[in-house]
Amino acid sequence: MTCDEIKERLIDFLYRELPAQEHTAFEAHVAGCDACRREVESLGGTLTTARTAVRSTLDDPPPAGVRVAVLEAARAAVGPAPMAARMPVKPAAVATKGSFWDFLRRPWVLPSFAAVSMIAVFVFARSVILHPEEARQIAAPAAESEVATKDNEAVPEAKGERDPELSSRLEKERGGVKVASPRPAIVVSPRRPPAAFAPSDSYERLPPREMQTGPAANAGRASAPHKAAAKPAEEPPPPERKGEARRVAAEKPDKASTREFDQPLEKTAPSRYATPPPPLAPASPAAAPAARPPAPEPAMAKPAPAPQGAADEEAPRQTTAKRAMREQSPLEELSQRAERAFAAQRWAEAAAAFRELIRLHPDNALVASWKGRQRASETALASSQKAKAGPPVRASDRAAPAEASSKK
Amino acid sequence: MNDEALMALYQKGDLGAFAELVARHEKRLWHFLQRFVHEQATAEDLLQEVFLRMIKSAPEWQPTAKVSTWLYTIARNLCTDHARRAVFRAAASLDGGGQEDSGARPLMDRIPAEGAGAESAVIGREIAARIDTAVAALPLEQREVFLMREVMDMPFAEIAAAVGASEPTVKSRMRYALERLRTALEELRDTAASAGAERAGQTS
Repeated sequence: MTCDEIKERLIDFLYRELPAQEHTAFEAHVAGCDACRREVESLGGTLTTARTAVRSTLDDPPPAGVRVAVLEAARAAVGPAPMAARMPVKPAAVATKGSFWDFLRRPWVLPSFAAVSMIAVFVFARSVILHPEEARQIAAPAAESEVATKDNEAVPEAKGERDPELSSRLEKERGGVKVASPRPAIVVSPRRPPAAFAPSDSYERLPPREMQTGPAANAGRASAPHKAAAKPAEEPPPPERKGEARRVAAEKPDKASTREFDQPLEKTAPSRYATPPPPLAPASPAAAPAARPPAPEPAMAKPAPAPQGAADEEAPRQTTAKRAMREQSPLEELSQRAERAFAAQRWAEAAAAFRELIRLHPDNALVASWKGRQRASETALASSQKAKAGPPVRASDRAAPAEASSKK
Repeated sequence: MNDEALMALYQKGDLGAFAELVARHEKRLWHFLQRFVHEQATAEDLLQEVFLRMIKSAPEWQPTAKVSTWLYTIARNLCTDHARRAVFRAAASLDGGGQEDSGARPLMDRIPAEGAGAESAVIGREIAARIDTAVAALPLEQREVFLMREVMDMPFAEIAAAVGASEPTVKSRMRYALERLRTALEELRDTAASAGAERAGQTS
């Protein structure tokens, strides 16, 4: 191996990358050549020193901010979709560890809620719109129970006592907002069934002071006209609103449950949801007493002294509710009778009952069902009559129709 | 798990695999870049850029490619681009070859031993600093070969592939780099020897 060859292979020798045979030859040459030996020792020493120097700080970490920024960039580049697709989803773990928000984020939750909500709205609307008699049944007892539990405080607002001082203060307390809004706020009484709501601004349409009757109201006004009017008004308004709602329910038991939400104020335009409102307040004070009973305010729940006005009002309410019950019962009775006859295969009786149901309640949602059963009953009746007229049949076959006809 | 398996996982979106790759290579890349550009802030920017390019190019990465080589090649390309744009170049290219040091002495005589006293420690730190300066002053072709081999521990064959040169050329550049560093160390030793002689004269 020559000195030039040693120079060419010096790096391979220092990095021990020479084949064994060449390595041996290299060492043999260097051992006999001082110049090459010095060169090898010199560069080998330099390599060792330089390597030590550059690797001495190799364990020092780079600035931490770089890794943070880089990992953030990687996270952004990967995006949520691939990560979600990659992450193994264990149903059990999700079920036990998932938060409420994880539950909401599941793909089937919102459609399910939407479907259930639609069904609920449909059922509600069907019961209220298509079965107004059921709504009457609900509204009348609700009104009665509300009357029974009513606070007996004399609320001037509820009696229509809108003195100017109180009105201005109320407006001030409500932040200067005009009380009569196009769509009144809905206030829910905690003791009230869901169907009984009342607009918060109902005193706007209360009858004037002249309409109020009853000793309590008169006494309240006589003792302290302005103080007595202002003090209860500072309290939360629910009594007054409840009273209004009760009056609505009592006066119009068949419409209260559906229209209370949208009772328009006298001074405002009717809501777009509202059906034409029943006249809550009489057009003129003179016609008011004849048009409807007096305001219910003087405390139905307080046992004594029972105000005359309240007693006068109670009677029509109960009457209305009972009337609603009576109106309801023939339909139910007839329906039950028809069903019983149908179930007992008393075809003639069932057909007649269903026919009567259809005639009396042509708009009922069950008419289609009734018609089907009526047809089935008539068909069964016809076939049984044919069997009677035809060849002799066994007594057992005729038993049911015969029984049905005998009972009829 | 090797780098390639981690990279395959990262291609599927595994950020943990990416974090592991970063942890494995950031130190070597950091020191490579630091010594290459010899500027802390620039090295930091370049390190971040290496990984950002890795993120960007990850979808195109093929499992047949070695991750470390791919990554270090990205770093080397960034460095060379940066160096070529730089106005200042510390030293002229020595690709023509270094001069034979006729007065070379045995290595152990020339390099002070580490831990041989306070003076030796100072010289040791000076040596390290001198090496840093000398490496930074190496011509680009020699510097990248030296750092890829000594800092990144890449075989010459991979270095050759990364820099686009033949393996013998790479080894020649390595030898020129060592000769350049040797010269720098000799200058440092001469300086240290003269300083020691001055101190000896003052004490006597």
